[in-house]
Amino acid sequence: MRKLFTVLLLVSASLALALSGEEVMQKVDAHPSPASMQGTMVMQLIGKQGKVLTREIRVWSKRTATEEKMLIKFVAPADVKGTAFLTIRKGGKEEMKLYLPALKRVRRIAGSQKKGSFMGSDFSYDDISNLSGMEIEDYNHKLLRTENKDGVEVYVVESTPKPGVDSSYSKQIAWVPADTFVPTRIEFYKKDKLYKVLTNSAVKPFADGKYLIPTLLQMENVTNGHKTVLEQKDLQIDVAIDDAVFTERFMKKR
Amino acid sequence: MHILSQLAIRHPWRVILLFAALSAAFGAGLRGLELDNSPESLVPPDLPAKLLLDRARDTFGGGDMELAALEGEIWTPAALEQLRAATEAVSGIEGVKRVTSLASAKRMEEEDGFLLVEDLLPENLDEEAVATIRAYVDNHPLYSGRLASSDGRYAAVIMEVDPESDMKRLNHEIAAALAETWSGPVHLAGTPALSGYILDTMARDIPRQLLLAILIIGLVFFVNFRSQRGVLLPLLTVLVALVWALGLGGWLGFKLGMISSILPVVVLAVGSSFTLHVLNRFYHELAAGVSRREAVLLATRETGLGVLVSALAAGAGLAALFSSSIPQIKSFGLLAAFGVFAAFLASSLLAPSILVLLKNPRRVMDPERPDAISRAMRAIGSWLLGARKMVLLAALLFLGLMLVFVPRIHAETSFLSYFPETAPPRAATELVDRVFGGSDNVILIVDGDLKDPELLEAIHRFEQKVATYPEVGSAASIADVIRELHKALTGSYGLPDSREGVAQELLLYQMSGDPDDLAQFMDEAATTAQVTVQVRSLPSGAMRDLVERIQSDAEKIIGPRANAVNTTGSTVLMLETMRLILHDQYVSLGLAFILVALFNAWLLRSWTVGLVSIIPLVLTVSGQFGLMGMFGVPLDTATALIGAIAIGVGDYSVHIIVRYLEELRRGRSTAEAARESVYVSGRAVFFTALAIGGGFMALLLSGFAPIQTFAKLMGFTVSATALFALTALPAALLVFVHKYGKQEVIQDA
Repeated sequence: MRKLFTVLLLVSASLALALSGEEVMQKVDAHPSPASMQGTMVMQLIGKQGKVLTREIRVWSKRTATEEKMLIKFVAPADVKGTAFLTIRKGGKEEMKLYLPALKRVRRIAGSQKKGSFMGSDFSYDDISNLSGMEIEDYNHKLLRTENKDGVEVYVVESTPKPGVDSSYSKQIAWVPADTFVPTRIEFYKKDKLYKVLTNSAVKPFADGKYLIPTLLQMENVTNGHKTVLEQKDLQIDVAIDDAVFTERFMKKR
Repeated sequence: MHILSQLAIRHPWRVILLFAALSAAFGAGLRGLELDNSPESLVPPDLPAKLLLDRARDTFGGGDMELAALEGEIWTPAALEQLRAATEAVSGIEGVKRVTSLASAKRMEEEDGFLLVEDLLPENLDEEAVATIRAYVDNHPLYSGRLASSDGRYAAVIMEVDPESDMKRLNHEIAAALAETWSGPVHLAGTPALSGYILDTMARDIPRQLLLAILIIGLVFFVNFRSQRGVLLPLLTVLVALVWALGLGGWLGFKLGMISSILPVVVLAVGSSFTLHVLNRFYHELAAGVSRREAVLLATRETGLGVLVSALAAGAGLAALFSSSIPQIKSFGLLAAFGVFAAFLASSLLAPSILVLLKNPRRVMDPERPDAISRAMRAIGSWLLGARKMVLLAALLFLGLMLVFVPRIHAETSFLSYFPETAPPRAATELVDRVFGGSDNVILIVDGDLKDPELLEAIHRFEQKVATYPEVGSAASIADVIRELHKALTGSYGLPDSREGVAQELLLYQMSGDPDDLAQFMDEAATTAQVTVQVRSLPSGAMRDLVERIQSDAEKIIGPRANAVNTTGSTVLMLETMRLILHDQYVSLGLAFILVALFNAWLLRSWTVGLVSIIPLVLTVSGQFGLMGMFGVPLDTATALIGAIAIGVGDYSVHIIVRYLEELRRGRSTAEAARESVYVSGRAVFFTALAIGGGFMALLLSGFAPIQTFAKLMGFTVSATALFALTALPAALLVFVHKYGKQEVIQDA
């Protein structure tokens, strides 16, 4: 009788402790997003045969309740240095501008880039914008299992888009450690076949621990063996960025 | 032979059990047998063009091009929706690496001051959107005539498929997916589609041909022996041989191609002749009143030598194919030689063992009884004595005449030539060639600095040059992509004037689409590019000429600005196959003649005899090639085998030599020996020729044009070898072989 009681107690205790998939993702989403960021990104494009191509970009981004702005400027390699790409998202509208120094002209670009590749990498624009948190209410979340890694409980959550939601992927599976709630691995599926795998590491605290941000990201496309390693360097969070940065003038400035 | 015959008589059950066990072991290998007729299976794995193609596939992620032409009014919202569904459906098929159609195409243009980059087909398709798309496509050099026909009647779905896939499954799935999504007719062309058709045809043909060959050979045997066991026993031995040969292929992991559909018939036809000789003697002895055991012993021992010599010669002729550099022909040679060896063992061990155990037949008919055929043989024998010199002279004239035509032979390896004029793959290919300018491609690999505008300009000039050839549909490369982009950015077609300009425009392209779109044209580091020249399906000769022009244009126009330019692609592999077939032919035939002459000289203890023994073969083979040259029959993967197979099946003339020598040894005159050998062995030669020739006629059923041609040529071959064996051979024996050693040939062997 006593034994049975102990078992019941343990079961109910574990039930109380376990989170649902929904709750895990809410905790992931509860991380605050920085209002502004600036830094350098070193992007390594690694081919199937191991050939590495390195690109370096400067990124400025700023967000308010109504507006999101991002400017990307290429630093290396030399032949694309100065190429700049500006995105301003406002009221559901997206404005994109491109500056190619060789043509010495700023061009406005139309058309949705969401599913397109981010700077020719294995990340899509969607992947990049979801790094700071996906729209969790667009998905159904299911806790598949928990794993234990180095003494830390890790939730494995499957997220499938709700009907009517336009998503790049048919499902995603995230590995979320219970101590940080910053996903360390996300698998992306297309037509329920594994397509890409994102690995987040070097998670660092910023703004006195207010933010936990992975600074080394690797996205591998399992269908063609190509991968991209993104390293965020000298990342500055919540610094004041002048609005003049997000202008044509600044794009053209070398 | 003595040991073999003793074994059969003393331990018949053990022999039968041993054969059963071995057949089961080899038979287990049948499950591992695979069919494959890809261009890759036809070239040596270390061929430079093959290595280059492997590298290209690795770098550009492509595969063999398969092209589907979807027929119907394409410029309607409904049709484009169907095209979108069709593109989606084939993309999901395992083995399809990349799909290009209007549904996967991008639209990049200047609109109201914006650079517009988006999918060509918008989410919602209405009449107006369709009109815009049509206008865009009509003015787009990469899309017009390539993804949509200019008359709006056909849409193309270009699939790049993994050459390693099972083409049969792949093509069934592609056809099913397209039929389900597209309401009009669908035409499939390109190397993978043809490979799929080839595999389908093989799967259908092999059992049909085998069955028909069994029927024909059975019938010939029945006419000869008029008994059930006279039919069943030879068939049993060859079926055993067939299981061994194909089973070995399975164990060795061989993949059978188009020509392997000949293999069962070769083993069947050649192998059955062995047992025919053994049974002939057995019934002859039984009819003469000898006991059953004694008859078996005599049959195996006395016909044994002839069977052994012809088995060795057949094996040697076929094994000579192993010297071929074409993997498919190599494995065919090995398996056919092994099958012949197995048939020899079965006819001299298994057949006698069964004969020992069976009761005597109620009615014994002597197959060597005098009948119309033997009377004819006697007449030939007598005639020859007076006409020996004339016969040899005629043979020499025939040889000379045929050799004149040999140099006219041309080779043909295009997959399309596999099919008779009326076969569906031909029609589909012709349609695709006509509507989309080609179902095949030649790939040009350019190594160099691809950000150099001058190199890009050279590539563009090269594309313009080759596009003027009537056999070329279009060409596509990174230069076209950049020109298109440059137009969208600046309003006019052209290339940026600096390295930086190229690099930046490329970056823009990568940013606005799937990086894979670029990967098919250029590697990430911009050091290797792939230029795809879409070409019509052509006969090998015309294709060689075209590829040579393309290569020379590339060297002249692109060469000076690049580090290297090379052509490859499945078309180039097929051309290499052609070159190898021509080259191998001399090697394997020469080798086969030498091997046969050596075996015969060694077994019959005389160099003169060895040389004389190959006279019928030399005459027959030169006849084959002479006729091919005369009638323009091309040398292809199937007809390339006829020389070696002629040597394999044609050596039944050895029975005449053995008999002639035996008669000489017994002290008869050359005239008596010649007459006797033609009279006694002539009948067997006649029936063997009938069985073998009949067996090969089953191949006339084949769905492959080369195999039909092969069957017709085999008809000539078998009749010619028989004719020469009964005329030129005894004439040569009469003229050149007068004395023979005292040893007993039969015992010795």
